[in-house]
Amino acid sequence: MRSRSDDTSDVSSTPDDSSAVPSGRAALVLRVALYLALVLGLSNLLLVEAVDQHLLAHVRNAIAYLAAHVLAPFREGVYADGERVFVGGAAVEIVNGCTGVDVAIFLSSAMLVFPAPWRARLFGVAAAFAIVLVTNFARVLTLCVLNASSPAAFELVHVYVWPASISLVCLATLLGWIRLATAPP
Amino acid sequence: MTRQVLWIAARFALVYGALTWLAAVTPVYAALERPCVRVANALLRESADETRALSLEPRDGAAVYLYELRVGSQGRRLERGMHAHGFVELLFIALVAATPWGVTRRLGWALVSGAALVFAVCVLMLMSDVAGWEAEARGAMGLAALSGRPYAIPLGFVAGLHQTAAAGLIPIAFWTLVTIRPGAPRG
Repeated sequence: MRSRSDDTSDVSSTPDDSSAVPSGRAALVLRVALYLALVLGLSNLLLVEAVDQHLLAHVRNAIAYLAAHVLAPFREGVYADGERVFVGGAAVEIVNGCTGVDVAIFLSSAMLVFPAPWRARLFGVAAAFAIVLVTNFARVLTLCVLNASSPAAFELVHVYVWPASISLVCLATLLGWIRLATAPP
Repeated sequence: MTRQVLWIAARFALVYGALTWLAAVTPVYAALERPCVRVANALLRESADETRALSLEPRDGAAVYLYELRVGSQGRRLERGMHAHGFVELLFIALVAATPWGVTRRLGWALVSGAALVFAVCVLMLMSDVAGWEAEARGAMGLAALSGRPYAIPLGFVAGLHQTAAAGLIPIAFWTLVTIRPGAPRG
């Protein structure tokens, strides 16, 4: 018989049936409902024109600007024009789905509803944004280079490789954070 | 990060990698989309002077949605390329396969409710597409774009979800929230 505190450090390994008590299940359902409400609400917030103009537009411009500056020493004809990054003659436009903000919101929402200390939740949200934005920036860099050098590889990497990689990073981040947040002091 | 977390992440990477490869070389996404299309079609509103139909048809080695709207004597048929909403389902399958299993009610509940949630997310994203095609078809027929809704429920709440590929994180968060038992908050 494992103790409650033993269970907390167990990352989905061998959960037992004693968890199926009504109060635990009610809390679980509430957490899932809260998570869905958060992601639906926040993803709709990203569609609000004021948010797009005053926040997301700056993020898109900043990503394009930074990507061009990182790639410029290594490639010819690299520059940013607003939300577009030109490498050679090929341009990649940074749209909202390319910023990583949506992914970071979805990941940090899971941390916000997980019953950990609030300090750990806030640390998790900051870490989620940092990890996702850095990973997404690496994605933008590789896609800019592939778009100019190998359009066929661009399609494969854009549609299959990066979505899978970002999902993996998010899963590892979430599991790692839960491990840290629920570790004994 | 612990070895256990890395082990789960590695298994997830392996299974999801294999599934996405399978999806790239075989029509897996079309097979996953078909039940969603059936449900989205069954939920379409119909009245005496308005009929709607949604189907998925093979076209040049790929699949396309066919959306047909008839309003009185006017009709419009739209053909649109298939969206791979099934990636959300593949993510969920990979997570289930990557989880160290014991036969427990908790995991059984997570599997059943997670599958239902994932299917609902895919159907809602498709219904959101259909709402857009309805407006497009009405505009092409010279009718007010927002004069009719294809579904009884308003779909505005999924508009944001539909615009982002981050919907794939819903099964990850759901599975993690449900299968990992939290301890009492400290600190």
